[in-house]
Amino acid sequence: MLKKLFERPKQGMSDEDYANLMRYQSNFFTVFFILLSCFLFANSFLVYYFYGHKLGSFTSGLYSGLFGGAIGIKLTSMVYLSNPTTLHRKKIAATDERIQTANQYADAFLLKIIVVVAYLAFVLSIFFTQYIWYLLAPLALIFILQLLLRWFFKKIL
Amino acid sequence: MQNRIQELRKSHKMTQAELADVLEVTRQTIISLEKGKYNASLFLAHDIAEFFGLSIEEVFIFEGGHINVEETIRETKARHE
Repeated sequence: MLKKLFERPKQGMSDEDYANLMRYQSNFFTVFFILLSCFLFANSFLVYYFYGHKLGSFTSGLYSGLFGGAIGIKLTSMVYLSNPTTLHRKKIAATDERIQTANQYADAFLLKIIVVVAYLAFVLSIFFTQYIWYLLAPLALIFILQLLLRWFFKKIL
Repeated sequence: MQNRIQELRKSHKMTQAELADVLEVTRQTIISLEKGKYNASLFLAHDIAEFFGLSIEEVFIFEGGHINVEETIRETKARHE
């Protein structure tokens, strides 16, 4: 289930397979985001009912955003799935190996930028010692994760 | 890596869009391949060669690999002797 959920479109897959994959992923994320949004709304309501804390604008923005995102995902997939020409174009764009390579380069480069920014923030935080662990912990986690992921991919590739 | 995609495409009287459609890639990928900016994967290279009815070596011109194979073989043999 997890594999299918995060599966990337493969080169050479048929339009029908791509449509099935898109339908599966969009249905899952639509349901997941709606449930998450309902859960947040119910939680906020219960907190207000029992403790009297008013709904924060962040929380209301979050569940509204999640609900809107879910509707957006469903509508977008419906547009693609209802038109075979658009679906074929979308499949080609999704399975094109040059685009996939470019996206991988961009993702890897972005991660490097994030690490550099986090490292600079860590260096600056030396002057504000109370915050140092908040910055050091995620930075260390990124490096540990990188080592683990490298080990994992060396094993499976 | 250089290739003969543009030459072969023109000899088949095809546009970049038509070739892209057959190979199920974007037109920009065909442009990048023809300009030599992007090196096709083995799968795409196989598809291209198969489409033109040629072997991969006849479409893609290898300008020498990362290692000098003959020299490496000689060195490996010398190490094992």
